[in-house]
Amino acid sequence: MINEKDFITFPQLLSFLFATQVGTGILTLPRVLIREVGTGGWIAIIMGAFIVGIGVICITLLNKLVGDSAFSALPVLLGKPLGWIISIVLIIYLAVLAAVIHRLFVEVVQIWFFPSASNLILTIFLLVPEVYIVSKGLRVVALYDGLIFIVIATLALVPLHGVINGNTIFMRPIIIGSAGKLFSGTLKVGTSFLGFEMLLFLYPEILGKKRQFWAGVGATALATFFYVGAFVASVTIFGPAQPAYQVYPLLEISRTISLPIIERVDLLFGGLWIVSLITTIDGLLITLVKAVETRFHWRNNISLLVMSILITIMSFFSSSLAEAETVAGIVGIVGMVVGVVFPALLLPVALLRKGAIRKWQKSKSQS
Amino acid sequence: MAKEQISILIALCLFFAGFATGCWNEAILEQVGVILIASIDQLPNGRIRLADAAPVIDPNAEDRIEIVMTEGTTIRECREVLNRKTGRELVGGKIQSLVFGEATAQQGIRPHMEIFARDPVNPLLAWVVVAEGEGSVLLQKGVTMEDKPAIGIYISELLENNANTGQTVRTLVYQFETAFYTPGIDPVTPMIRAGETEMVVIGSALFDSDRMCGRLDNTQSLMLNLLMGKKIDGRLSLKMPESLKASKDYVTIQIVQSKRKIQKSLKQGQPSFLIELAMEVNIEEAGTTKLLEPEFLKKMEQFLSDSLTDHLQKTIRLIQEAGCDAIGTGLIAKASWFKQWQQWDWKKLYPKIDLKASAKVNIRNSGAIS
Repeated sequence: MINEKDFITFPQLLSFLFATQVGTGILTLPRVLIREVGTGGWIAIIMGAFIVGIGVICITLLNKLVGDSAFSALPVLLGKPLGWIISIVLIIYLAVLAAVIHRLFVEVVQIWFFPSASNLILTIFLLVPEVYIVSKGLRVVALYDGLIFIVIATLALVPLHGVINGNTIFMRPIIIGSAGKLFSGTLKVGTSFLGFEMLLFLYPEILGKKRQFWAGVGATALATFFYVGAFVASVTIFGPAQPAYQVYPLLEISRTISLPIIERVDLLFGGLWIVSLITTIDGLLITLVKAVETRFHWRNNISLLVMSILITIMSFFSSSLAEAETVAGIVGIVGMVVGVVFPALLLPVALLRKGAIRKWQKSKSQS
Repeated sequence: MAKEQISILIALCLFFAGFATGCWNEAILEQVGVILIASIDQLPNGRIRLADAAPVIDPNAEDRIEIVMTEGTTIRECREVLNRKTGRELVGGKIQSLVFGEATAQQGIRPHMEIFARDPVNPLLAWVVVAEGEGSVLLQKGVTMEDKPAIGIYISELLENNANTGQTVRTLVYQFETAFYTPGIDPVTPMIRAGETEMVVIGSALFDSDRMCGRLDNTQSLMLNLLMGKKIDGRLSLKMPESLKASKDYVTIQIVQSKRKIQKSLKQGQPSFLIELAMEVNIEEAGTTKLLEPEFLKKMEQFLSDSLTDHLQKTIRLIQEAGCDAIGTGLIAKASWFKQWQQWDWKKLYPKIDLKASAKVNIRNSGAIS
């Protein structure tokens, strides 16, 4: 039985997916792309968005076929042992992803604001509001994401400043190293789009299920717009080479803005960005809690507590930014497998096991 | 929400508020030195001299500005030594200008600017300036100018005004860094001289990568700004030919608008550029009353066009000879002919490329008298 507080509408799902997608990735994306692809990095973003689009199509079709979240139906689709193993792998994936983002958050705060702040305290600071929001249910998370959506829209003024005041000649010629580099860049962009795969876990909670596809596509399109904007702004402001050496090119853009009242726009931008960062981990955390509830039937509050502690511990596994980014890269590739390859493979399985699915649905409705 | 939950929430807020008292990286204004201007000089023994000027926040203090100086191997090391000397922690978050001595600039300034890019506390919006002579001397002289604003504010205001009127270029830390890192464009910075009683912006310093390779006076800086397509509110006085002379030998114009168009082509495999400037000017002083006569006006426009073209050409020759691609012709070449660009050694080719400019002047008005 789903709690009433967990039902979300189409706009709420859209803002939930978008807020989960846009997090720390956008801060580093221009650097990654300039290094990997060159000034044609924006092409990799668009290609990445198309691949994510394929993932969204597969997931929504899959959810529709099983009449529930694909995650719930795993034991039916793959058989109990394999279904359980894959379920646990997916739960671990969500926990690791949340832990990595936690770690990256701590790194941003330490590099940008408080170099001497303790990792533990920063992690706890981030965790407390997250746990509080997540404990209130999916709808509250989505509503918070909607509120932060407005903040993110305001923050878009920073890349916009870059696009308007930068030198567009830096974008020319559109240099792409090689097809291999473009492909590798596209994979790396995929990390920044992670969040769309939450659709694998959510279905019964969505009101107006027919529009879940549009929510996935809409959120990805919005994220693409932001990512392309951030990339173009970085190149037009800092040229085609410099972003490759900047840890957070987007934050660097904010350092080039001065307003009559707010002299250090970078501090304001960074501060607001951190608030919006909570939405990414919130999205992962509530999905994680739901997944644990689905598979292990744990009460939400217990799984929330256990998962929060687990995420905190795991976030300390990487001891430096370089290590955290390496882990993030690996998790990003795993995420693309989870969000695109896995649903694409499950789709024919679901078609072949229509009978079993029908039986499962029947038994669910009877119970 | 149950009362119990509210109590827990309040307790949690209070508990975590304890951690949020600003204990990390705390900076109490009275206990820090807010640096407004810093100078860096490379010494012959390989060490560097750092001078920082910070306002004194003490109503009983005799000096308005405290200037501290030390030598060391890196900027950070110098800053640490200065902290020990002053008893206050010097913070660089409000630096408005970064001054390099001329000799230092000739050896390359990029290594000294690393800290500005690496530490986000330092502003990317500080001016990069080259001082005639030593940077630290400029700061010391500036502190003694009692009838002028505090040195940091004085210099940044001076630079702002001169950049607005095109007498020098506007180059901030991030712009210098961008030009340094980007192949096909070189940085240019303002240049300043410390007199006994005042500071004077004397033009611009040209750079080849991060090494100063030449200089431009104020008029040439104005021309460079126009060639770079910058919006300026510049004024220029030109000596008139006999045919136009009346009561004065010179005419002063105000450049109201300038539109740049760059024609580019490949001539025998070599890039060629023609920068066409369409300018709207106002006549501010001319010593004549014929400015409403169409024929005279035409002659005046022709004279101004020719004269400005001549100035532009001279400036181009100077920057080409210095090897400073301040206009960014390399960027245009790279964008237009990338295949060839990969074969070219742009640094070697740039001084030899066919780079020309022409100005077409339109007199918009001449004030309240003809």
